[in-house]
Order: sequence, then structure tokens, then C-alpha cells
Amino acid sequence: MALRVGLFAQPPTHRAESSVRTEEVALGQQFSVNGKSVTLDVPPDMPLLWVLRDLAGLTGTKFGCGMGLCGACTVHLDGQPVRSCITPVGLVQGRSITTIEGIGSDTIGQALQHAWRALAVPQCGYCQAGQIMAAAALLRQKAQPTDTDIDTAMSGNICRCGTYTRIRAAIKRASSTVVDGTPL
Amino acid sequence: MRRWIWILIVVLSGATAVGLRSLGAADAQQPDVVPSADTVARGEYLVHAADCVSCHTAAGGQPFAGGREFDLGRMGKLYAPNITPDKGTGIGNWSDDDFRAAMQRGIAPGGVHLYPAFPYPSFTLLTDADVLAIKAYLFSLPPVHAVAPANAMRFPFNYRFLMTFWNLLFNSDKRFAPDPAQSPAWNRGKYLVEGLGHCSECHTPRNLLQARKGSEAYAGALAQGWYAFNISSDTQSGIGGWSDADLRAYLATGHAAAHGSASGPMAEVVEGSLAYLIPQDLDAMVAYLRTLKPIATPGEYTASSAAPVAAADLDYGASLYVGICANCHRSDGSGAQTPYQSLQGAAALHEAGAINLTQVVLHGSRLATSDGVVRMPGFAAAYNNDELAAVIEYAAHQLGHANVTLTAEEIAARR
Amino acid sequence: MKSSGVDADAADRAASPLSRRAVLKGAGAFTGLVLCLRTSGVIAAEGHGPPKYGVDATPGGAVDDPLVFIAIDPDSTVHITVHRSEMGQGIRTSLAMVAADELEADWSHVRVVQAPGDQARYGNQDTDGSQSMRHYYEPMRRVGAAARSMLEAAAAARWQVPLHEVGTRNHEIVHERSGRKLPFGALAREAARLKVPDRATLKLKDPSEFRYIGKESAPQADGADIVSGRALYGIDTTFEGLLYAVIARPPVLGGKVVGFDASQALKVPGVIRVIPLASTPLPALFNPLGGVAVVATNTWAAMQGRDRLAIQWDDGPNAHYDSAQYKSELEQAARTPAKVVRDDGNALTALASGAQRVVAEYYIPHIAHASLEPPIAVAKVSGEKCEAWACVQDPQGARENLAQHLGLKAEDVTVNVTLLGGGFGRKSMHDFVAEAGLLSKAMDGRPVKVTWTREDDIRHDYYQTVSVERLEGALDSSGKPVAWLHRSAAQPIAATFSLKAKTQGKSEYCSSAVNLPYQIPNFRVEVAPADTHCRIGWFRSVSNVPHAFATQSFVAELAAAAKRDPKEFLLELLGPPRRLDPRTISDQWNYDESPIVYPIDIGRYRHVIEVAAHEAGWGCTLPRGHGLGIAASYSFMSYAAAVVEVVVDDKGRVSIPRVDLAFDCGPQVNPDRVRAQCEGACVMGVALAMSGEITFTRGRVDQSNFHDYRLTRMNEAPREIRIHLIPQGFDVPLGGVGEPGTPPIAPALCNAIFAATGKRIRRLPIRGQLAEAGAIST
Repeated sequence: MALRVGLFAQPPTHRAESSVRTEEVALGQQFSVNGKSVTLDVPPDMPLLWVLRDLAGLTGTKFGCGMGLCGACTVHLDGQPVRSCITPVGLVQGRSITTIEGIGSDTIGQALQHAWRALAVPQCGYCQAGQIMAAAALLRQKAQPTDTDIDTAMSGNICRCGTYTRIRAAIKRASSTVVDGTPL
Repeated sequence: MRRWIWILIVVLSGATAVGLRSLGAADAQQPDVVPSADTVARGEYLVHAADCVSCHTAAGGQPFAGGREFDLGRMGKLYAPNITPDKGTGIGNWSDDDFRAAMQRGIAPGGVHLYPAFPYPSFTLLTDADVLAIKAYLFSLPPVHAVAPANAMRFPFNYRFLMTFWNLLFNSDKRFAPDPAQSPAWNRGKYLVEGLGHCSECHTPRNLLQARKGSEAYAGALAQGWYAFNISSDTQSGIGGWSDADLRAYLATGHAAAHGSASGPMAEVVEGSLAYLIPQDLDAMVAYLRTLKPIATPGEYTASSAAPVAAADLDYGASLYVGICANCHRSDGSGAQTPYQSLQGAAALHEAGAINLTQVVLHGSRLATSDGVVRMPGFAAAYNNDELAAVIEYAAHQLGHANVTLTAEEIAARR
Repeated sequence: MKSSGVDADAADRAASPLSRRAVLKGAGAFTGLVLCLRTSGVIAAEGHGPPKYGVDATPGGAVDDPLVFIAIDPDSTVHITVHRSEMGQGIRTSLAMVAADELEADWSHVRVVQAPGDQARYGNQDTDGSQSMRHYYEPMRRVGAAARSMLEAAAAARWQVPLHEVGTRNHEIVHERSGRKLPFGALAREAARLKVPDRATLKLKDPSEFRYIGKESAPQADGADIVSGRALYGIDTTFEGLLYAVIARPPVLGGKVVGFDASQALKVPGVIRVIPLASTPLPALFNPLGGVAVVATNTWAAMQGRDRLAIQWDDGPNAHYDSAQYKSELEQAARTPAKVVRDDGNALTALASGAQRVVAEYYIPHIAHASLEPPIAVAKVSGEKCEAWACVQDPQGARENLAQHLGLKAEDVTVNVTLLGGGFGRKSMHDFVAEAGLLSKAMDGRPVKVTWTREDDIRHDYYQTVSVERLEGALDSSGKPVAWLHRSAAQPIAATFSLKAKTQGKSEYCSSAVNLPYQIPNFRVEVAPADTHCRIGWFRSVSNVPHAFATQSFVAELAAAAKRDPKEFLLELLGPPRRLDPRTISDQWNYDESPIVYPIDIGRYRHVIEVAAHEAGWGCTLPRGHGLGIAASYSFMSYAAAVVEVVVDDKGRVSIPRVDLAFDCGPQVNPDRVRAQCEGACVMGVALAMSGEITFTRGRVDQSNFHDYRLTRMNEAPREIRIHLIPQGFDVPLGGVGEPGTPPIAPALCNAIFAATGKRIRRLPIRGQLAEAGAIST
């Protein structure tokens, strides 16, 4: 199903009210989000984060820094973790995006969500979407990560509440329940 | 003591040169020409090709209004002047002749000698028509009232008249003459590279008198604290190993798949100049660059004689890399979000002094691309010298396969 | 976090004809502020009846009406309203759990409802000062018990049986004798019509009957939503027609716009309008900072538009603020005799005559909260009404402030509270909500979301004060401490509310400075005046952070001078177990709690130290480069002691393999959340010790984002954090949880560094100090 711009909370004023325009808007950025095809009329340099949040109504992906420094906005692009706040939407043309809203349809994502809840990892919870997305990418790449693997994969994600020890424990717990993408 | 020797050398060489060359070389006065709209448009293109904006704009300031600082170390500091047509603080009162004299001979109205930080030894190659088109464009801009800070050159460099002798030695004051044996494209490329683009001003090492060494043209040099890499056609040290497509892509966008991204002054050149060039001109530049004399500069890229980086330092560097670098560059340097973040193949990663790598890590970088502005923040403020040394050593080792050893003191000196 | 109101300094008050309350009232028409600032101490001092303590001392006090907090659907789903803001401390789970327990509700049929800002209806909502559970444990128990009692009465009436034969078990009302049962939903309508039982008649559970309180069994109320991206924070408010704004604010506090050019901004596709916002005169209060707003159809367009604004600023009176220079001003102040706030014996004489004198000055920089969700609010103005959605700790304050700025009545303003993506005190200050209101009004009532970027958050925070803490101590010939002089020079929070405020108030100096119960006969504390040039606000643990850093470092320095074990020395300073009335050591504040209910319990103080030391293996031999450090603090009615283990290598690189934190907050209502808060406190303590620093140059904040304002990452955090909760029965009064874990971490860390290297850190953050100092010396 192709979602069209009319379905999003994009007021019709988008173009009419900006009387002077220097840049041409590239029509039809097309990509898929959580398995659904999306076509949007947005400038190609708009970061994927704001496309997801403000135009596609997917607010699970969070804004933390806008500079790729904190990981709160992590999504998967063709399975790889990327910081959506510095990913121009023009570069995801034709590619496949998974967000926190869609990670639960995957065995690893489910195992992580379960472990996160079992160990009550979140405090405020704001960074946890990004943490789970980073952890999911890690486990997909390495089913039984070492502490060093976890440091490597997760140190780009800041948690101001300080839930790091529980995040580490939850990743290990999830990894113990999933092998090669299938639950034990 | 050393300064006096410099003066002596300059004066004696100058005197010799004076004996050899005519002193009455000034052109006859010409009336100003009223430019056409076409001339202004051509001038705009030429101003881009010459990248006037990069040097003549202060950080956050109005374009062409000057004020950018150039720290020349022990020689002192220069501030780029205002080149908008403001009559009081810019060049609004300059005649065509005044402008040509500045561009081609380095002499401003009143006989004031300009310092060759302004690349008139390159611009001297420009045709009169092009010089006047540049002026026509600059005069079409709104005047900006802005006074650049006064230069702070140290003795003896504060004596501008010394430039008289320097010019006699090092400014050819000759317009570009095409080589009929070469293709029009090559000739156009040479005009762009040697003249408008003034590439050699950064990429060619300088002698004791701060003149470019002809024998080492494009062999790479330090400029503004950055390494302007060897762009001669040597396959190892220079760009002889690059494909035409990579070279063109790098010039046009600041990035080539196997060679990383431009940063620092080169990113400014791409953003302010090369990105505006038409494809034929980029091809012409590539054609000319291909024919530069190959010069090997092996010392810059091989491991220094220093001991290998300690494993503990690499581990420490790795722990910092995963926190602050891998977000964008990934563990393998492949680049996470955009191709511009790829570090693979970047010369900065295997240059033995890690000059540019240090600059980027300390001060960050920005590159305007067709996919938006790509930014890297600098990490100087919150990370200590030991941490920065470790992460740079790690990046060079892991991604550039280079044995770079840096001390905290070296980082401190480059801050 | 915000822990008290404006305790204007008495000396300042004497110098000024204006009392603190008069100052607040005089600050324009901001009488509403008085309501959101706690005033109990002043009320008591001014002789308006007996002093009020605890929740009674807070605006709005406590409400325990079950009809306010509990609603039951016909299908028996129980909706429990939580009126305190959730920012990671788990209060939505814990308070709801307390009511559910007394109601005998099944947690799986409980839904948590977030109250909007309405203190008249819900009681005090200002979520700060580590007081939510301390103040609402009892009221929420009564809420649950009253609702249960009403359901039971309804059942008794329906069944025509005596009330005492009716009971409640697991979401059902039961009549054991007849075996009849009814689900809550079947009785809710009738129950709601009954009179709410009198407080005194309520039968509360015996703690042995608790099913959730004190147990680990209730899952987090928002856990499922958080891990699936459905949880809604301030940034997530969205609906049809929403406009998005970012604001270019004056870079210097007190600055204003002289002129601006919006032509380039208006060319950005999606930008709709550029709106100048007036700056309000200082003091800062909770006023918007002014500036120039860019309103667009999406956040990115607004940000792009702002980048293209050309603005000329008048920097105003604070343009000279320079942190390097200010540090020496503070040092000068800390070296000059100042206002005495505690004076036992004669410290000055004893210092001069002691056998050994130790002097140390400690520097603690400004800190930014940097909650991962920056301040964000949505507002929609419709005629004479306004509705807002925001991540605020103090929704009633936000409501009054918003009403004030829009010229509306507070009752016509609704502030809906979203989840907070971290707060740490920043979101007690609600300037950003007023910004959204002003912009919605300017956009003819269209809803506007104001997003603060990270740069906005770092550069326009209400910062933790910078301070210089000077300590002087004297030991007698046997190494026993005989004199203590602590002179604290710091910017008071009151300066945010009054330009006259120069010295710390009692809520500041009674936080780990005056109220140290050490057995030193000559004990003097002074507070030195300091000028303020930025907004100062409540940061997690507030003044306990700088004071505990200095005093706990200094205790270790004294121990070293006396050649004593620091833990033993600290225990000796505390003396034998006893209960101490805080007023006897000049603490007239005591976190606004009763000195009788909450004395300083030296036995509990000692116990956390002993537990932390024991669990950490204090006294065992460590490898070269390793060190253990200890520190203890009492704050927000809870006792905390930390032992930090560090490893410092020969290049001065610090890593933290383990932290042991012993924590006694009285009984633990939700033990796992207590542990979680303590774990977080350890990481935050490490962050502020290792790397957190805000500096100013020409009045502007030098930092902007996480590359230059550095937070602790996973690989830099303590590898192992072990929280040792001290078990306490429910006969012990509850202590705070959110804040008191933080203060001992930084001093314990620096004491550990001293143990490992012999190098004493007196200036935070540690950053490169050890690397610069070179190799370790022991």
C-alpha cells in the first residue's frame, strides 16, 4: 500500500505560503518504512528523522542532538543502524527503513523488547527506542556479543538517566533467547 | 638574527634582479569600460572559479566583506580586505587599471604592495578581459560597509616595500599563453588550475622566501595548519592512481568513493568554487592535473621511525572511537548515513603526521553537498589531549593502516 | 531538582526594604509565582500560626479524595490518576501501585491516567525535591482504601449484609459467608454516589498484606509503550494542522533583538512566518527569553529558516560574563569573611591554634541538565482559552505562567502533562511552555509546537550554579579534628527571581554544608556573596552536589593529614548512633520536613557507610593503579554512601570498574525503581565528575551539543553498579529517592583517585587533569 501525502499531517500551506522559493522541491521521495511503501513530497536534504516524525507520523524515533552524537534517532536502513537525524531523505530513495514501531515484528526485536521489560531497563525511556534499534543491529550481526562487542555497538547511544548496566544485561538476556534469529 | 639574514637575502637578490629587468613595466592608463550583463554573468562564474569568497569572508560575515584572519605564524597575521564596492571600506573607488594592477601585479592603489597571501602570482595569468569581468561582477554586488582588522605583520614583514623585490623574483607578471601543442581542454584546464583556481598556492611547497618551489610543484605542502596533499601525478604519493571519474567527482562534490571527503580548506574550495564549475571545466582540470610532473614524497605516507603505537593506546583509542566516531563513520570507516562520511581510502588517514586528521578531529569539518550540508563537530573542547591523540592514532592505524604516533603535547600544540 | 523556594538571604533582606515575597509580588504582576514557590519557612517565621511541614508546606498540599483519583469502568478496568510528572523515576507506576494495593486491585486491570496541571483539584504537583512518594504515599493509600471501602459499602447495601462481613480480594468484592462476589465494575456506579468515608475511619492494610507496595511485582506502567515506540513525550504531541517553531534566543541573558532580516529565512520551503518575541526584563523568572521565532510546516524547515536569520543583538548587562575570570572572583569571595550561617564554638581561634591546619579550595563548574528530550511544548490558543501539552515537572506553575503571558485566567488554561524524556530539574522551569502559547496567539490560534534543539538546551538552560567551596580544618596533636570552616561562594537560585539575591539561601546552605552532623567542637559555615549572570536553576540534588563534593573530599583530606583510614575517620566524625534535631546544628530548613519526624539519624548514616565499605571490600589490598574512595551524604531525608573503585593507568586515564552505593530511604515502596534511580545517580555523578562543564565567554555559553558538553557513555560508565538498599519497615518515615544518590559519587570518585595516585582533584570536571599531571606517584 502506498501512503500518499494526504494521509499525513502536512497542512496544504506547505507550498502556498512560502512566496519566494529558491530551491526546487524534489517530488516523490519513495522508500519503505516498516514494510509499507511511502512516497513523500519533501526536499531531499530533509533528514529522515523529521520526515518520519513530522510527516509520516512515526514519533517513536526520537530527536536528541541533530548531529549524530547521541543515537536517540537510530533506525535501520536496509538493516544497518543509522542516525536518522543526519540521514538526508534523498539518500534513502528506494531503500527500506525499520523504526522502533516495526522492530517488534522481528524475532530479535521481540526478544529485546521482552528483555527490556523483564529487566525494567527504561527510566524516562526517551533514548530507549534508539538503544533497542542499536542492540537489534548488534544481535543481527553477532548473536552472542561479548562485553566489548556491546561497548562497540552501544557507546554511540547516550542515556542521561544512566541505564547502561541494565541495557548491557538486557542485551545479554535477549541474546541468550535467540540464536540465528530464531528463538530458543 | 635570522630576520636580518632574510632581509639581506631579499635586498641583495632584489638588487640583482633590478639590474636584470626593466623597471618601467607599468601599463599605460586605460579608461574604465562599462560592463555588459554578459560580462557580469561571466564575472560571477570566474569569481567562483577563483574562490574569492572563501578568503574574503569572515566566519559568519557578509560575503566578500573581508575580515577573515590568516595566521601566518611567526610572520604575523593578515586580514582579508573588503572587496565589495563600498567606497569607504571596500574597492568602490578602484578603476579598471587599479583592479588589474592588484590582480596581476599585487599592487593596490597608491602603490601599496599586497602580500602574496593574496594569490596574485597565480592571478597574473588571467587575461585582462577575465580580470575586468571579475571586477564587473564584484561591482554589481551591494556595497557592504565593513572595515577589516588591521594587519599585524611582524618585523621585517611589516615593510611592504620589500615585496617590490619579491615580485621581481617571484611574480612573472605574464598572462597565460596557451600551448598549441596541447588540446584546448588541457589549456583550459591549465588556465583554471594555475590561474583562476590557484591550486599551487596551497599544494606546492614554498621556499625560505615564501615563494612556491617550481621544482616541487604540487608535491604537497602545509597551508593554514592543514596538509594540502601531493596532487602531482605520482601514483603512490600523488593522484596518479585515481581514476578520472574519482578525480572529477572529488573536485565536483568533495568526495570520491575510494578517497574519502574533502575537509578544511579543500572543503571550502569545493563549496565556494569547484561545485559551481561546469562539467567541461572540471574535465579540463582533470586533463591538466593528469599531466603534472610526478613527484614522489614517500616520507609523508610511510611509517615514521617511531616505535609502533602501544596496544594500550590503540585499545584506548578504540574505546573513544566507538563512542564519538562510529556514529557516523562506522567501526570500519565505511560511513553510516551518507557516502561523505566514508573514511575509506582517505589520504588523511595514512599521512604520517596525521595533520589533517588532527585538524578534523579537533575542529570539525563541513561540506556543502547536493544532499545538504554534511557537518562534523570538533572534539577539542571536551576531550583531553591524551584522548585525542589516542583516537587519532587508532583511526590511522585501524582505517589507514598507518603507524601514527602522537603525544599529548603535539595535540596541545595543534589546538 | 527544585527543592525549595526562594530563600532570599537575610542580609540582603535587611539591606532592602523589600521582603522576598514583596520582591516576588513586585516583579510585575507575577503574584502567581508565589503559589509555585514554597513558602512555609517564611510563613512560620512571620508568625502565621504553627509551622507546616512536608506536604502541608507545599502549595496545594495533599488531596486524598478517591473520586478525584480513581475511576472504574463497567468492565472493572480501574483508572488511577497520577498527578505527579513521570521523568524516569517511575512515579506513574509507583503511586498508582500504592493506590491499587489499598484498593486490592489487580495491576493488570489498572490504567494510569496523567492529571493535567490543577493543584486545587489534585494537590501539589510540582515534581521536584524527591518528594512525590514521601508526600503522597499516605494520601494515595487513603485514596485506594477509601475507594475500596466505598465499593464494599455499595456491595453491602446491594446484598443487604453487614458491612464488616464484606471484603475485597483481587479486584472483586466478596461476601465470604454467602460466597457471593461482584467485580468492581458492577458496583462502581453505586459506590461513586456514596459519601467518601472520613479519613479517620479508613482501615489501611497492614504492611504484611501488601501485594505491590515494597514488592518487585508490578511491571512498569509505561514499559510496553516505551519499548515499542508508542510512549508519548512532549516532543510527540501532534495533530492535524500543527505548526512547528524554533526560536533564535538572545545569546546572552538579558540581551534583546535590535534588528533582524528574515528575507532568507522566508525563502526556505515550508517556512510560514518569522515572528519577533519581546524579551522581558530581568530577573529571568520563568519568562521566555525573547528572540526571533521561525514558524514552519515541519521542524526541519523551521530549523533551516532559523539558520538563515540575520539578527543583531544587544547583549545587555551580562555580556562580560567570563568563566575564567569569574572563577577568580569566586575564589576571592571565598577567601573573604562572609555571612555566618552556623557557628559552633570558635572556629577561627581553633583554626589558629590547632596542631595541624589543612586548607583546600574546590571548584565546581556550571552544569547543564541535558535531559535527552529537550524542552518542548505545544500550545493552542482559542479565544480566551489556551490548551497546552508539555513535558513539565510543574504543570500548575506552567499553567499560571502561561496564563500570565497570554493575559488569560489560569482556570482558562489547561496544561496537559506528557511523559518527560528526562527532567533532572530543568523541566521545573517552564519558560518554553509560555513560548508556545505566545506563538500560537501570534499565529491566530493555530497550534504551535516549540522545539528546543540541543544547542538551545545547552545554551539557554537554568544552570546548576558554579561554586568555589573553601574549607579550612585543624587537627589537634592526636590527629583529631578540632575546627572546621566552610565558606561557600555560589550563585543562589534566588537570583533567577530577584536581582538583589547575592547569597545562597537556607535551602542551599542547609544542603550538605550547615547540616553536617560532625563531632567537631568548633564548626563554622559561611556563605559568600556572588553576582549572577545567567539563569540558575534546580539541578538533581541541587546544592548537595557542590557541597558534598567539597566536604567529602575535605574529610578525606583531613584523614590523610591525620594519617587515618578515611572510612574510620568519617565514622568518627559522625560519632555514635543517635538522633539529632537538625535545629541544634543551625539547620532551620530540613527540606521543609518536621525536625521531629525527620531527625538526622546518625545510626542510619553510619550504617550506609559501613555497608558500602563492607560490600566494596574496603581495606583489602588492591593492585597498583587501583583505588577505593568513600563518601557519604544525607539529603532529601535519605542516607547514601558510595565506594567507588577506580583504575588510573600510567598515562592518567581513569576507568571505573565498580561502584557500591548503600542507600537508606526508609521503606522502599517500589524497590526496583529505587535501585534504578540509584544506578542512574551513579552515572550522573560520574558524568559531572569526569566531564560535565558549562563555561561562558562574553556572556555566551561556549558549549552547544554532546561533542563539547560531554555526557558519560556506556563504555565510560562504571562497568558494575551495585546498589545496596537498607531494609526498613514502614514505621520509618519515607525518604527521597530521585536525588540523594548523586551527591556522594563525585567525591568518592576523587577520593578513589587520591587512593590510587596520591593526586588530589579539587576542580571538577576531572577531564584531563590526571593525564596532564603525568604518571601516577604511588
